[in-house]
Amino acid sequence: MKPLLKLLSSMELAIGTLVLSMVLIFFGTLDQQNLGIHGATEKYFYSFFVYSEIPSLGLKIPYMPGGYLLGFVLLANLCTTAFIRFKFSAAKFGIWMLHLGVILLLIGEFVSSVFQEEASMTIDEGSSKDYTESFRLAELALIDTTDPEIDTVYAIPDAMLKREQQVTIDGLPFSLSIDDYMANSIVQRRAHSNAAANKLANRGIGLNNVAIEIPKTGKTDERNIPATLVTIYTNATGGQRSEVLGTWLVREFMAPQSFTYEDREYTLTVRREREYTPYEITLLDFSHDRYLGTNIPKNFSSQVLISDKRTGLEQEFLIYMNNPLRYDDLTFYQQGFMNDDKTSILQVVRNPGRSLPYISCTILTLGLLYQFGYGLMRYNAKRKKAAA
Amino acid sequence: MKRYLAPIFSILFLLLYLVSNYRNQTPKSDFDFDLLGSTPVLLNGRIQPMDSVARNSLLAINGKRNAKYEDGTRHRAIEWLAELMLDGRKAETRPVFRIYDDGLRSILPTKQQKEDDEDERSPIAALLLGKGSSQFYYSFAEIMPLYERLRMDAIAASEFDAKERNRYQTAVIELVNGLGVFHALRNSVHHGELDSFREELEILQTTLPAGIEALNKQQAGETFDEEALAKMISFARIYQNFEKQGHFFTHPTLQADGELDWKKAGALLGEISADGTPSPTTLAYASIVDAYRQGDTEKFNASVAELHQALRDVSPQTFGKSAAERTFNYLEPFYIAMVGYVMVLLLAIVSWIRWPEALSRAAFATAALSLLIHTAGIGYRIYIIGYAPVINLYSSAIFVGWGAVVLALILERLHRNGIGNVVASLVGFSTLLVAHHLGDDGDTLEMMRAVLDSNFWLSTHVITITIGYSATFLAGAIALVFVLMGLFTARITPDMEKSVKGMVYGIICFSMLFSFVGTVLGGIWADQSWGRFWGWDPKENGAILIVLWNAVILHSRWGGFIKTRGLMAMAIFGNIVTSWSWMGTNMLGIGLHSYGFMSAAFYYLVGFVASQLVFIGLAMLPTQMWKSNIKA
Repeated sequence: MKPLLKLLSSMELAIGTLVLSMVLIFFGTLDQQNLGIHGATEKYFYSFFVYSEIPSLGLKIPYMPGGYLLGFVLLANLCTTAFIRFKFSAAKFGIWMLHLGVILLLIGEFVSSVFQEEASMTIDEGSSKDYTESFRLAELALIDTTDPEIDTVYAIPDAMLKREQQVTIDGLPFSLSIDDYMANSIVQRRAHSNAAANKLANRGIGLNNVAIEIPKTGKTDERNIPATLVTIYTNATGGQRSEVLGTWLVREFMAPQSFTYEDREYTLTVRREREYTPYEITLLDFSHDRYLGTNIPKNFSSQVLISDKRTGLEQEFLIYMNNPLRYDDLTFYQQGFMNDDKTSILQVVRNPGRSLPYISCTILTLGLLYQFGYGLMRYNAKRKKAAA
Repeated sequence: MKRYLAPIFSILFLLLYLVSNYRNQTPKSDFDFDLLGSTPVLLNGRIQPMDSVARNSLLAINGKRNAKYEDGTRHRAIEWLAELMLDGRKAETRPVFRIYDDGLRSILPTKQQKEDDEDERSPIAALLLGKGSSQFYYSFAEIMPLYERLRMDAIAASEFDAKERNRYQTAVIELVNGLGVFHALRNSVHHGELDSFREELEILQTTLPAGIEALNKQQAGETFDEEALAKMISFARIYQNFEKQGHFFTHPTLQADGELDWKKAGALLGEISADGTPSPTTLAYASIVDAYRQGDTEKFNASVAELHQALRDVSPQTFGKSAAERTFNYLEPFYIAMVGYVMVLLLAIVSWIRWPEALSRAAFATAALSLLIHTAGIGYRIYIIGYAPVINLYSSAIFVGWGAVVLALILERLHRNGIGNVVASLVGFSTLLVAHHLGDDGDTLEMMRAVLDSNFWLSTHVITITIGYSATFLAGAIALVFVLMGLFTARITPDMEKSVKGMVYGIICFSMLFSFVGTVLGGIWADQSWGRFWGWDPKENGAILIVLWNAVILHSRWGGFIKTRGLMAMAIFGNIVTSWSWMGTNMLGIGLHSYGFMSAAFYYLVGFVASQLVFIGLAMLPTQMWKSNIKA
C-alpha cells in the first residue's frame, strides 16, 4: 500500500481526529457564552481553522483545526478505510455499515451548513404575508412609490452589499454605488463623532447622523443592525454626463428616506432580505394557553390559511409545537409570539439536505445493532464453551 | 436454609425501615393532619395534596423537610402549614427562614446560638454534625421590620443576571421570595382579619345584599343606608387583597365541558353575592379555621372530612392524583433506596473479609430490593405527572442511577464477582444524592413547558440518552473499583482481570449504542420541532462528546493501543465527559436545553472532575506498584 494511503486509512489518524474534534467541540461550546451559538458555530465548526485575532497587529493566527478540516480528514480516513482496507465478511459487515453511515452523516452536516437557509414570517391575526424575512441577511430596497396603487421594489441582496460594488438596475435611470456596508452598526450624532469625511452622507438622515461599524453578534438575544452608505448617480446617456444625486446613510429601522428624480418618487430603506413565496399565508387565529395560575406555557398554535397563487387552492392548517407545516420546499415552525398574543412568529427553514441525516442514522443504528449483537452472540458462545 | 439467612435478614431490615419511616410521617397530634394533608389544591398548574404544598414550600424557605420551632421541638411540614394558613399570627414567630449569608445576617437582629442546641447533642454528635445551627434560622416577625430595605435590595439585585449576582444579592432575592411565599400561604385559606371565619360568613350574608341595595340606591340618586354601604366597602377592601394573595387554588368548580376550573379562597365573596350563601367548600374551610383556632380537635377532624365530601361532591376529579402523591411523599422511596444502597456497600465490603458467600448473596438481594423501591418511586412519578420519567435535571439524576443499577445487577448475575454489587450501590447512592440536592428548590413534579411537549421522539430521545449516561458512568465506576482494588489489595486475580475487562468493554459498547441512538433521536426531534437536525446547542455538543469518547476508547482497544490499565483510565475519563455533558452544559445557561441552570453545583462539578483525574493518575501507575498481579 502506498504510504499516503496507509497514513490516510490508519487507526491512529482516526483516533487523533476524534480526540481533536472533542477538544474543538468543548472549546467551541465554552465560547458560545461569548459569541452566541451562531457566532461560535461559524468560528469553530463551520471553518477550516480557528483563528485568534490580534487587533493591534491586524493578524489572524490559526491555532486549532476547525470543524471543516477535521470533518474532511475524517471523511478521507473513513472512505479509504471503508473502500480499501475492509474485506467483506459477516464479522465486519456491521463495521462497514457504521463507517458508511458516518460518511453520509458528515456529508449531510456539510450540506446543511452550506445550503440550509433560515428565515422567519411574522403575521398579525387576520392579515396575510407572501414573503419570508431572512434571519441574518439584509437587503437595500429601492422602492418606486410614484404610483399610489403599486410599489415597484428593486432590492439589492446582502451578498452584493457586502462586495461594496456599483449596481446598475435595468429600467432605472440611475445607478447605485455601495460606498460602505456595515453588517452591524450603531448610530451617533454627527456633531459628536469624528468619522472620516468619506464616511459621511450629504442627504437625508445622514446629514445629522453617522453610523459606526461594530463587531457582528451571534447571540440569540442580540441583533445585528446593518447600515450602508449609498451614492446614487444618473446614468450617462447619449452625450448626457453622469450626475451625482447624493449620498445617503440607510440603516435598518431608520425611517424610509425619499428623493425625487425625473418626476418619479423613490424611497430607500434597509430591511431583512425578503423572499417571496408563490402563496399567501393568512393567520386566522393564534392561541396561547398557560397552566392555570402560572406563566408556564401549555401550548401555542397558529391556525393559518394558505392561498396558492398558482393553483388558486385554499387550505387550512394548524401549526403548533412539534407539528410544523411543510409546504413546497419550506417548513414552517411555531417559533414565538408577540403583541399580546395577537401576532405569531413562524420560523421558516429550507434545507435540501434534510433527508440525509435520516438515511445515515438508519444505516448507523442498524450497523451498531448488527455489530454489537454479533459481538454479544460470540461472547455468549464463548461463555457456553467455557462452561461446558 | 442457612444460606438464605443473611439475605432474609437484610431484606427484612430494609422493609422494616421502610414501614417505620412511613409511619413516622404522621405528625403526633390529635388534629388529623394526615387527612388535612391529603386535601387536593391546585398549585403550579397541577392538582396536588396540601402535604406537597407544605413540603415544597418549607423546603424552599427552610432548606429542610421538617421545621424546628423556637422551643426546640420538631414539626412536620403539614403541621407548620396548617398553623400558617389557619392561624397565621402564631406562625410569625416560628424560626423557619434559613439564612446562611453573613452579609444578610449582619443587618438582621443578632442571634445567639442557643444553649439547648449543645445540650441536645453528645460531644461526639456535636463533632460530627456541628454544634447546632439555631443562629441561622429567623422568624417572620424578626425579619419584617427590615422588609422595605430587603425588598429594595432584592429589586436592585434582580437587575443583574443570576450568574452575576454576589452572595448577598442571591441571598436577599431568595429571602424576599420566601417571605412572599410565606405571606401568600398565610392568605390562602383565610385573611385573618377577623377571629371567626364562620361568623364572618354569617355577617357577609346580611351585609352584602344590604350593601348592594344601598349601592344601587346611591347610584339611582335615592336615599340609601350609609352604614350598610360603608360596611360592605370595608369588606370589599379586605377581599380585594385576599383574592389576589392566596398561594394556591382551593375552590374547584365543574364547568360545562367537564373540565375543572379552580378559584382562590377569596372567591367566596362572589359565591355569596351570586347565590346568597357560601358553597359547602367555603363552609367547611371556615369550620376548619375556627376549630383550629379554638383547639377543638374533634370539630377540626369532622370539618376536614366535610371538606373532602364537599370537594368530592363537586366532582371526584378534584382529587385527581393527589392521593397517590401523598402516599409517594410518605414513602420517600428515593430516600429508602439510598439507605438500601448504603447497606449494599457495607455488606459487599464486609463480605470480602468474612462470610463471602452469604454476605454477597445478601448484598445482591438488598440491591435488588432497593432497585425495586427505586423503580416504584419512578413509577409513582410517571403516574403523577403522566409523562415520560425524565422531565428535568432532578428526574434525570434519578433515572441515570436507576439505569446504572439495572445494568450493574445484570452484570453481577453474569459474572458473580461482587463488583456488580459494589458499583450498583456506588452509582445508585451517588446519583440519588445528586438528585436530592437538585430537588432542594422545591416542586420537582413541575408541568412540562410547551417547548418540551410530549412527543414520541422527545420522550424516547431523553430516555435513551439518559441510559447512555448511566452506562458511561457504570463503566467508569467499574473501572474505578477495579483500580482501587487492584492497587491496594491483592484480590484481583488474572481471571478477574479478564472478566472485569470484559465488563467494561461490554458496557462501553452498550453506552456507545445508547448515547448514539439517543443523540440521533434528539436530532429527529429537533428536526421535527425546530427545523434543523443538528444545531450545535451546548447539550447536543455534550451528547456528541460522549459518542466520540466511546468511539475513541473502542478504536484504541481495537487498534491495540490500550491494555487493561489504559482501558480503565479511559473509562474513568468517560465519567468526566459524561458529567460535563449532563451537568456542565446546563451551567452555561445558553441554548434550548438551558432549562436547568445551576451555579453552586459548578464547584461540585470541578471537585468531581479533579477526583476523577486523580483516579486516572492512579490507574496509570506502573504494574509493579499494584498489589494485585495485573498483566498489563
